[in-house]
Amino acid sequence: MGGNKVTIMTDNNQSIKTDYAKAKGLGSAKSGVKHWLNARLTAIPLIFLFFYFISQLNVITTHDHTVFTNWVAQPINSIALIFFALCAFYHASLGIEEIITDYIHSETKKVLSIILNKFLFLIMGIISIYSILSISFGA
Amino acid sequence: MFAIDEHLKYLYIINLNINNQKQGYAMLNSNRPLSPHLQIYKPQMTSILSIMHRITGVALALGAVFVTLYIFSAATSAECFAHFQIFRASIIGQIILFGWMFSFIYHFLSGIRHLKWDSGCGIEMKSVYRSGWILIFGAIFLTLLLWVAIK
Repeated sequence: MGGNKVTIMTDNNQSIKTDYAKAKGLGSAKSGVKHWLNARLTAIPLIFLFFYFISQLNVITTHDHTVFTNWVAQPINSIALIFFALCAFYHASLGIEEIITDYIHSETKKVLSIILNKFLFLIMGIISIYSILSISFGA
Repeated sequence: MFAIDEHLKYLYIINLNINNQKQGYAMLNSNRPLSPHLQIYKPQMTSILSIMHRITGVALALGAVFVTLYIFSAATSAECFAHFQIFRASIIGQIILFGWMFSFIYHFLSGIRHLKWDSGCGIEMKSVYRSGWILIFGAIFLTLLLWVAIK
């Protein structure tokens, strides 16, 4: 007679996420690790650019306008500076955005501050890249 | 008559709730007392170095304005560049430059420490304190070295 065997099945892969949510793979911040990853990805070229600019320090800190513009006009230096401007201003923008979301609690002030932050760094980036190109291609 | 009293009481309570909502959540939040945190927590190397990473980051972001002005003045004209050099040679300019250089070097070394942690290495307490001391002495030493180098 053996008795009735009851098979206990457990569903170990329970999730309340819909299929779309599972496909997107995002957590409660709704944007995944994009912010964190971009901060690291922009940091890595900045490390190498830091070493390069340190090696050129005596030219960068010169008081002579001609020496400085001749240095910037060289292709390798222009490219390094544009790369630096893009990475540094985006990295700074991400960092300031984290600080804003940490310390400003009013939703209106937070959103306006984040918009202002992105806008300011965008403007500074554009002015910097314009200046570098102007020196490279100008007189 | 008692029904009217109840009705008036009900309206009075509704009015109170509406006034509370009008003042908004900010009003309710700022009235709450908070337990002390920064005032009583013992400062440790971990927390100090971490907040220094954030503070130097903000300092660098503010200094980015000066970097933009620097390269823009070089692109504008030789006189504009000369004006910027005069500002840089002044006391306030030297202070800003020194602070920005220290912030750059500290944030750079601290950032490498963060990247090392992100890869999983060195997250034990001993390792954290050891890399912390390297960071402090390295930052001070490199700042003084570079400051002398650009003089």
